Amino acid sequence: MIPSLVLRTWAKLLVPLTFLFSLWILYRGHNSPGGGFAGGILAATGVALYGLAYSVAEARKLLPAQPLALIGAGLGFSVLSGFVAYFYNRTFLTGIWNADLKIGTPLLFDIGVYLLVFGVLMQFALTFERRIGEEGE
Amino acid sequence: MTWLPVLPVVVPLAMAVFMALTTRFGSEHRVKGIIGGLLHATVSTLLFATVAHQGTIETRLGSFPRPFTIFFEATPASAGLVALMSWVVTAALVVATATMDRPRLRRGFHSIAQVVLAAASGALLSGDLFNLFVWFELMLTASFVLVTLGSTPAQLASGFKYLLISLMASVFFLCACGLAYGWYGNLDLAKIAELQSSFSGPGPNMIGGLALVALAIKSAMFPMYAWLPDAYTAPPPGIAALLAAVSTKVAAFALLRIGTALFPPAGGLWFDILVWAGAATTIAGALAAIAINDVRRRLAFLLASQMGTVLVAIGLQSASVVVLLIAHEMVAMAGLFFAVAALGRTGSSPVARLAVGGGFLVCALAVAGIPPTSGFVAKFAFVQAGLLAENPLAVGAVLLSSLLSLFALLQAWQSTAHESEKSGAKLGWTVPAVCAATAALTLAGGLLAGPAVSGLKETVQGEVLR
Repeated sequence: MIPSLVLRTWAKLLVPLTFLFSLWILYRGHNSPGGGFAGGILAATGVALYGLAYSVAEARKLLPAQPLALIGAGLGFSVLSGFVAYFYNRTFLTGIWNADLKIGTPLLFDIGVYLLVFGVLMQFALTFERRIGEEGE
Repeated sequence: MTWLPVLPVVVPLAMAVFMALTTRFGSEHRVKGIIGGLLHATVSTLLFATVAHQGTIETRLGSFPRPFTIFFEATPASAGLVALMSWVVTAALVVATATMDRPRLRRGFHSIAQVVLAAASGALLSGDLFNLFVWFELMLTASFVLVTLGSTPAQLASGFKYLLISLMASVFFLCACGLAYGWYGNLDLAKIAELQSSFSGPGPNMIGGLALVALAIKSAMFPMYAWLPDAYTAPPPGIAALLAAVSTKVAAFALLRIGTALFPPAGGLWFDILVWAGAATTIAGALAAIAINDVRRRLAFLLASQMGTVLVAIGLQSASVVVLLIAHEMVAMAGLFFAVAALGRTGSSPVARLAVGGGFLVCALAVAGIPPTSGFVAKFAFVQAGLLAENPLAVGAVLLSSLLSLFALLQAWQSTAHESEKSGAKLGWTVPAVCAATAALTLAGGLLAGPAVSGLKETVQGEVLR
């Protein structure tokens, strides 16, 4: 952890900003550059910065669940999105779309990727940051 | 119907998700892990039964047309290997659960094992080059975690070597994929095989060479097999048994499919290289095995030697023999690793000791190719193919290595038979039962080989070589 007032103030501001930006990247990903992978990485950078500015324990409080559970949920969403096609008599992973809302199973798949990448990076980042914190103290 | 080929990949992935979501502090997932193995075995056996009955099933993920889609192709050969692998891996999960220490189980052994299972099934069933590469990488990453699970210094050293060498091989593989896409315009293995004959020039040879180097490293070919013994001796025996059943076998099957699609048929240069390098592997592995005293290292070198035989068979372009050899080695080598895992921990029960010792002996005879085991059938088919291809030197090399392996294994059996009981926890009945079942499967493979082999020859030759 780095006891800097500037970093702490900015980190507080940047966590919600990066999170919102990552959601936008996630949503536009189907037709434009972006998607679950890039969105997940972006969301993770915000929390990782918060962990550096305050502490790993504080950063963990921002997470909705344990990183391992996020990884599991992400993989689960992606696998689930493939199964939706079963109820429309199509093959695994065929995209099922709602034409009016322009929302379909590929978005669900991307949300899964988002959660998975976010979870994996949180696991990495928090482990390393804890080590940095131990050495600093 | 088109859902069946996807299930061997999706079911273990879903199981891994379930384990990740239900993890509490200290959970070991023993029951879930073995249930996951059994579920996979059920699904893949169902797939094999369907395919054997109705012929190849093709699944195009996302319903995109070929050659643009990711597609799975369950041929009798690939589905059969998935089913067999699945049962062997389930047996390995039982052995690993019974013999492994708690910290390793708590660090997620079972969920990683499910990922290995999913990735290996994907690599066996996938019908296009790039998809194959991706499943292969996933398998590598997950087995790297298994090799280093527990983080002892020996494991980390061998794991690092394993990772580095495999990544190097992956770079070669990826280059081959890229060049193939540039050259043929698609990555569909069947389409490439069709286009193959109409192309001349350096492209096919270069692509074939790159793919050959990549997969030869991963299936432990002679000058490039140094990573294997360490990776199979540093982790606990349960993990070694699991890896022995999966990684090199999948690489060999991939080499068969890619070789028949990518190697130019006219020159045959790459096939010749495979024959000679395979012969060198099989002899060098067997000689190294004799020279080494440690039983598990010896088994690891024998595994490399066995893979050499498969490589020779791929070089001889006889697909049915390759599939037969892979199937036989999967069971027999796993049986040896199971017996070694139980060694000296069977307690005083004579039945358990008989099951473990007998299991080792039967599987050892199978590896050497003595009747009435599956090894004899596989080696016999191999010799037949070798003589048909008029390649007596390759046949001689393999027979010599069989003799050397027999010597190495009987020596190992003798030394282990007198081994005193180790201190530590005694095993229950499960591991000896698994040893006995594996030995029984090997014997059954030898005794009931007639119909299986003729069926295999009819179907495989056309299916894999397409």
